[in-house]
Amino acid sequence: MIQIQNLKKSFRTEEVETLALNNVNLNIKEGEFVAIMGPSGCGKSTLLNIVGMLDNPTEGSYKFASHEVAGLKESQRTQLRKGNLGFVFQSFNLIDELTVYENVELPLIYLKMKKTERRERVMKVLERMKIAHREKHFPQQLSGGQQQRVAISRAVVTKPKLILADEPTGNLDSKNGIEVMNLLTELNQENTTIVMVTHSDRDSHYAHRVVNLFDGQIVTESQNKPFEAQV
Amino acid sequence: MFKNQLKVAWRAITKNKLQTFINLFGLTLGTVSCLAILLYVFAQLGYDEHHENAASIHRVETIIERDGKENFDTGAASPPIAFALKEDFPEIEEATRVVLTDVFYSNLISAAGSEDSYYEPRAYIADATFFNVFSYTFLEGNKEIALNEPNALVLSSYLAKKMFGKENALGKAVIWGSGENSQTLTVKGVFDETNEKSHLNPNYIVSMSTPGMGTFVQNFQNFATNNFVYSYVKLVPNGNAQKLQQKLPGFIQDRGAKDLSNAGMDSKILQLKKVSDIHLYSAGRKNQIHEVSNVKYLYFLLTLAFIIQLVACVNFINLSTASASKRAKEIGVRKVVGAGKKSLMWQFLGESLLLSVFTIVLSVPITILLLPLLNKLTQASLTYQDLLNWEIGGLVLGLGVLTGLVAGIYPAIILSSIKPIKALKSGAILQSNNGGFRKVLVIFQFVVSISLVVTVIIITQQFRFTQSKNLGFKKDNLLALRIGTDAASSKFESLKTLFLNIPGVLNVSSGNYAPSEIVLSDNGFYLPGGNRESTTIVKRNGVSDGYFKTMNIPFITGRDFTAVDTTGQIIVNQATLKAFNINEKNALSSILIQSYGDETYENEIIGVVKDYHFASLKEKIAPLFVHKENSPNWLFLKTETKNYSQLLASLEQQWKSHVKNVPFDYVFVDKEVEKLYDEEKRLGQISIVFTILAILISCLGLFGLVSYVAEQKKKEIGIRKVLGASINSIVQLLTKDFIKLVLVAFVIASPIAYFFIQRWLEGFTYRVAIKLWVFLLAGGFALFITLITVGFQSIKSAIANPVKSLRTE
Repeated sequence: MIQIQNLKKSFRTEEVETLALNNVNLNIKEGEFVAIMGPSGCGKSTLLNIVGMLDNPTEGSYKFASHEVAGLKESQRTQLRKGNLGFVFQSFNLIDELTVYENVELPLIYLKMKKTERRERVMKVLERMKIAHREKHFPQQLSGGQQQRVAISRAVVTKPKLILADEPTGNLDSKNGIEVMNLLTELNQENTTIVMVTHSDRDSHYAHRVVNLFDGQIVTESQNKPFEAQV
Repeated sequence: MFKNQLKVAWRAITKNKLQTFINLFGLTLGTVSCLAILLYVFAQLGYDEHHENAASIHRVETIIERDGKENFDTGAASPPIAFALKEDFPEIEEATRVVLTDVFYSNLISAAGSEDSYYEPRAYIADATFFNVFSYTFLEGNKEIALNEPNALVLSSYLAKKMFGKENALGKAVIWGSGENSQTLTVKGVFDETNEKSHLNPNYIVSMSTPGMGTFVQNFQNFATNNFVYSYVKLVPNGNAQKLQQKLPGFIQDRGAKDLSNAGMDSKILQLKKVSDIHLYSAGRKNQIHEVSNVKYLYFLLTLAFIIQLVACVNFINLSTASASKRAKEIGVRKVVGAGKKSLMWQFLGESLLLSVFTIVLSVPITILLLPLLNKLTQASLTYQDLLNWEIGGLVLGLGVLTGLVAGIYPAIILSSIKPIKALKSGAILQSNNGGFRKVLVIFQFVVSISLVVTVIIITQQFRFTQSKNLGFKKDNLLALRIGTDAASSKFESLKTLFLNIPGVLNVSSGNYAPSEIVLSDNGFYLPGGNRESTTIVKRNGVSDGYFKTMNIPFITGRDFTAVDTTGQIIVNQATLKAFNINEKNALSSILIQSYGDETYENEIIGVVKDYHFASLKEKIAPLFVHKENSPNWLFLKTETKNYSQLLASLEQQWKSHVKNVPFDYVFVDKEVEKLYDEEKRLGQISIVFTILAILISCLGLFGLVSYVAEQKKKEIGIRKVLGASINSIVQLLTKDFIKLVLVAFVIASPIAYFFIQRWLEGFTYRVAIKLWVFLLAGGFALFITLITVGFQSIKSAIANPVKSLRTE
């Protein structure tokens, strides 16, 4: 599903050029659950942003479902992203002015889906995430765990092939964190590919494979045994 | 999608209360100002457009040149010109002439057998062809023949109602004038005066064939003199006015060469002015039949409206881009879940459009509520019906959409191009990109404020100057009583004695023109040894002895009139001496000669008075001579009392006991003089009001902007405080940038303001000097406002606890 070859990403200021990613090669198959780990500033998030088509690489090739993504314009990337990708962030990134329902509905609106169909989809997801009773609340009226469940609902409502999670448990206590990881695992078991950036060893054990980044390069890759969901 | 965006727009609007308030307040004020000004401007448009084939109706105007210089100009022409034009040019379908009666004699009018008589302004004598040229709707009578016979009268519906109540006016007898000169007229028609806007706007029209002034005009055949007849020609369909204009020099040469040389005129230029252009495009022309407006004023007001709305838009742009960080997260999320740049742009444009449409919804009722104030300010009589028409509606809607677009487009571009990764990480990064543009906008606002403050101060100064300038006569406590009839005029001496016995009356005299009245009469004079080729036009007034004493006009040399003087003795002003190059020492017994045809008359100068402003300050003091007048139009009383109602009551009582059937009609001369500057006063007041609005809106915008800057710099302020910065230095940090902007704006605004105000002042012959302190004051004012708004916010952030601001980051 994802084929990355010789990927480089550098950031340039007036005087200094910083190499955030250096010769990264990574293949991710459909249905895989990959965790990306590494110390702060090693390039995890940069890699995730490129995989998520929010950013372009400086050099190298990135193929998503055999489409070359590197070098696409923003509008083209937006088109490719729509419906195919879902994002989950550490800080949830819900729109404060929208209710739970409206936040989850948003990607479907941009897919120009009909209202009745949207309603059905959103409610289904919200029920599954056990947050349907809060549909009319605004994000700030919810706990962190609830907010993250809304964010995951929003990520999966389009039934994307790939979910990108950037430290999804970083702002949560352990109980809520485990709950979120279980949800991701469930989604993965339904054949959704998941790429997750994390600092947490515990979370990384949920993944099939752990990729370790250091100074912009992949240093090790290790396979995990399939992990049983904790309750 | 639209509904969702609308929802978000609404929630964003209600969430940022300060920003929304400033935007809403500013845009609403701006829209109300625009609406008010549009209403006023619309009221000035469309004059004389209701006539059938209005575009083909032209007024013939006159410019007379002497010694190669423009010596005299008027909206009127000599009596025979209109119909001679019709005779000579087949492209003229019809001609008609209008004579304004009230300048020449009293226009007292009463229903036969009624005790009530009235002075009515805008009373005309007109040719029978009047209604062939101008379109009026008749309520009674037949307009085809209404003015055909002598002593025929056509009334406005207003006057018909005033004189005859609910009865039909048609066929009724009306007494016009009084005493020996009174005539009986018959009402031949009543027209609907509420019809349309017109520069003529008559109250009543008397047929030209009526004996007196009318027949004089009909019989007068000189093409050079007596340029007091308003002459109109109507061209045939497809008639070309420009081509006709080119033939007019030939026409006047053919018809009037001899008359012109007899009158000592080098040349006489006839100009065609489209009637629909008279109200707005003939402000420079003298002797208008009725007050005209000036399209320049309308442009000025429209510019003011535009500037106010622009200032409000600038606020919106400033605040929206400054607060981009607040919306960065939303934008980032929307982009991540699939929003394209276009859809985001539309979203933000939609928000500004929503806001501007909302301000229109607010503005219309506010404007209607403010109409009485607006009418007072503009001396107009606008009603809500003027507001509720399609043209204004369309313009306002257009204004709303345009405002929404102007205000929204830049923020929409900025906001929609925010990069999602940056936006989701930290909102504060976005500022550096558009800070430069925002500075330009802030400078723009200060430039507007400073220029407007300068303008307002100087307009006010000029207005005060015209009010307090020594006009050369004492206009205060000077009462002018309209004599009106020969009967009253003949009682002048006894009235004078009676009035002088009333406590509070210091002095009584009489004259044909009250100061501030347009002096239409003039004579051409030349010195002994000269000839009529070298005539100089001198304005004329007839007065009784004691006139100069009443007016407090000092004699330079010579004496006032005495009982034995005749019209052969004249008193002149200094300007006349100068015009004829007569030395003051030799002035007395100097002779000025005037000639009519073959006859010449000698006029002996018996006195010279100091120059005084008998006309508006906009004009230079012209040569003027004064002769003795036995039947003057006005009685002048110099008074001194604290109780005017009592004085007026006593005057009225004496008047009524001596003069029958003439109303007691008086004016205060100082009020009349003020009317000469009505337009300036109106303009001044309107500019002051709208300038204050513009400044208020700018200040509000500035306040909002500083709030955001302070918030953005929260972290910086926190760090600085942790490192030991004092409150003072923090305040300086925040205010320094704005003060720089004010200084830049000051440098830009001063020449701009100077240029425009200089041009405006050029319209006055006597004007105030533009002083440096006015600019310094305006700049100081802007600085002061800035320090107050910025200072308040910066002190607030400076004394905030740094721990808090650092933690929230």
